[in-house]
Amino acid sequence: MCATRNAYRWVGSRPVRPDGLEKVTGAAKYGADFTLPGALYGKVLRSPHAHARILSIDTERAAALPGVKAVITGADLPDHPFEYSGPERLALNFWHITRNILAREKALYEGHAVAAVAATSASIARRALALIEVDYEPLPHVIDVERAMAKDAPLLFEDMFTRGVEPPPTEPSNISKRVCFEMGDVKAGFADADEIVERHFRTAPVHQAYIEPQACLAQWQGGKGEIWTSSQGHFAVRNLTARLTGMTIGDLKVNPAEIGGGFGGKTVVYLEPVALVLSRLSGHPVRMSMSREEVFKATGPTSGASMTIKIGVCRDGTMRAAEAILRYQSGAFPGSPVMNGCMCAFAPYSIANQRTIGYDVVSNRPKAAAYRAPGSPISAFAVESTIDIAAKTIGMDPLEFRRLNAARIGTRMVYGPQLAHGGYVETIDALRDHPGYQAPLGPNQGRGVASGYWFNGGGDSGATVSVNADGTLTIATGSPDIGGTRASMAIMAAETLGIDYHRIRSEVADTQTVPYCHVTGGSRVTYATGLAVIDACKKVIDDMRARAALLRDVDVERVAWENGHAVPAVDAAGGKIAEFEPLSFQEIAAKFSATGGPIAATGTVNAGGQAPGFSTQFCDVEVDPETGRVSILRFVAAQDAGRAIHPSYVEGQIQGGVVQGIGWALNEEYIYDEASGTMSNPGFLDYRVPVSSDVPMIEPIVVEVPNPNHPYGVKGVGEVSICPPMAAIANAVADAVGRRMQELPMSPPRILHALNHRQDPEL
Amino acid sequence: MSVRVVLSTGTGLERTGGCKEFEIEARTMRELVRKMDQRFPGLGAWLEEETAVAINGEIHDTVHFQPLPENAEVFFLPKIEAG
Repeated sequence: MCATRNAYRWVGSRPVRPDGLEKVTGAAKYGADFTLPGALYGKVLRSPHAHARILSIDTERAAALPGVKAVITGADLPDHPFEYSGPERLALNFWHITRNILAREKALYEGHAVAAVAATSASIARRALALIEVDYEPLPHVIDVERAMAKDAPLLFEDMFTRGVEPPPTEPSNISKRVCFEMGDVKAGFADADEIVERHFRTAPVHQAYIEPQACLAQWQGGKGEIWTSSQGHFAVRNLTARLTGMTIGDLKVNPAEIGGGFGGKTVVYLEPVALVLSRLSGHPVRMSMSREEVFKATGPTSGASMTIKIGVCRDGTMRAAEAILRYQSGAFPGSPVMNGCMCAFAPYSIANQRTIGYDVVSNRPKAAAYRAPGSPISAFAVESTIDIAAKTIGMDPLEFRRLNAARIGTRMVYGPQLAHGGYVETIDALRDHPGYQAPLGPNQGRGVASGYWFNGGGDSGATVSVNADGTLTIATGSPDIGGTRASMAIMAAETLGIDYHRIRSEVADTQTVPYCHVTGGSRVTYATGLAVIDACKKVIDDMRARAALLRDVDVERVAWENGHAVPAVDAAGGKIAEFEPLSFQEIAAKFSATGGPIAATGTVNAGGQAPGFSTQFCDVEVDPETGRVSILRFVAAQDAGRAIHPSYVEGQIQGGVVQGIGWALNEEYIYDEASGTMSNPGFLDYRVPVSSDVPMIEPIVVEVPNPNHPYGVKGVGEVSICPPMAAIANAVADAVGRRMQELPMSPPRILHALNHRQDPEL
Repeated sequence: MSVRVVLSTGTGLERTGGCKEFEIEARTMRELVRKMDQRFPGLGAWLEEETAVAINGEIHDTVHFQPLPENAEVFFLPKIEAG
């Protein structure tokens, strides 16, 4: 459902997706579909230990096996100095990254890559792995975040001293970093409050659970490299792989495959540097792909966390003070999204006195990777649950409570600036007006509300547009199409140029063909790459006006562009300042050669002024008191999109985020065998993502509060929908059965335990 | 043209001796970053590479061309990860 209508011809329409036919017929090519003559099969040897010192690796017997063409270890990749670079949130440290690609001194988690082979068949490659002799010295491991923070915890890095603490600590620990954001007088704010609610929460690490495992093909030839891979950013793959393999960026070409889901998890590399080095050493192309077990054990889930939330509220409903202490697992190397968690935790609210403290904690798990609004859903679960308790404590409707305290334009954020864009209140109002919000509930049924915030992204993007002789248009960008951006690019181009959407072909091109594009992530592509496309289209319009002036023998200043035609310009009074027969886009395209050669333009931007996304959702659940199963009866999600370029894709993003949130809330978790530190459920039979029968039709409400910094009002839409569901469901469960679930997932055993071990109703 | 500049958590406070607020005369981000670098050598390059910036609440990468309105409030922020 779209809340508003607009005056555009193409923006807001719902044309058939341009990549749909290939995807439903199986013709689309994903990472594992690419091959070359003579391609070898690459396989990775992984650590069976959660934590072990690598005393030696003997590859001699494996290399001697007939059919084996190359065997590598970490020593075959260049080492890097220990230094953090890039933004503090990311704090890339290539000393860490190269050790995650292939372990060196230590194996830091079960599944950690230790060596790799390339062979003429997959079975020979597997036999070769069995011949590699690794001498491990097993070490004590730590999996849980709170245990990892304890003073007597086994250390992953004996020389890791917590950053962000003054004075710097003198003892090493697994806490890699502490961050703190604060504003106002938190102590005085709590003193002013009539009621204080303080609770402790835990979330489990969950995987992005993309359907397509990591897969690539790499070829080293003539001192240059070429890769075909499925990723959220082939430019990012190129830059990371070039750095990790010690080559120049310009010598590496990366071709984008279609992507079978990423959700943040495919913004980093695992296989590509390994495949490229194997190709260089063997002289053959090398194909690699992960099994599902490898995906779970060796690629980034998002963090599990332990959180303490405290909110001070007055009886009039205003929140006077808030504090969040967030402890996020980063996996085996530093770099959890805890800073985002701190910045987003209370962002939907106007609270004058706030403090958010975050700890980034390493443990013997795979390195965490981004997952849809990285960090924000985790803190949102804890904060939005606590807010529900606060509203109930003072007897206020949870939507009214949120509306009373809602952040608006000018609200000061804990990370410093004032909020420059609205949209949150409108999502609350969309739910207040929904008939389901007041619908009666049955026995063991409950209703829960929650909200979420995400920054949305801008940054570097480029695009080229080329006009063809028949008046069709080709758009090429470097942004992999994950959420329908081929269509949204074409729609914005059609709107800008005034031509038929169906005459535009929108492509994702390789790194040597189009300008740099940052990853498809952060809900940035429709905004940032869209601005690059619009910029290029405006250049085409200028060029076509000049060519029309040539064809009509008038000065270019006398030619305007209107609805896909070069027309006589008008003066301030609206009178024509030239007389000539208009020329259509198609007519000018047909004359491209005589008027100066091919018509094409490149647009490049570093897009700023992106507007944040807000989502508010409510759900109805029913709890089975005998089994502990939670059934989702209804789920309504309102989200501010700025402007929905293709509303069906926006609705799909909302529904997808909610479904992933339902899985995070009810079932998904990494289950570890405590004694060995190994994962017990590395497959979709035991790691349970929601299936169609688990969820009702998610009802999306697209709220449109346009972003004035974009010609069509675009904000990002891909991520914020995953922030509220976990708390909305927990709040609904509390409403249904009077049990406050403070640990995810709310699986049947946990629900049953809560029902059977407490007698008093909880808020 | 004076603007208020604030360094948020994780944006180089260790390079300014903990000082987080400044009044700077600048018309563009280029001028602002250059003047910050003059005051704290090395800070400018670090800000360009590793921070985002909110100018009156509007978030941008720390890029040279961005104009600064009179009495603007400029917050340097940690860059945000994509998901």
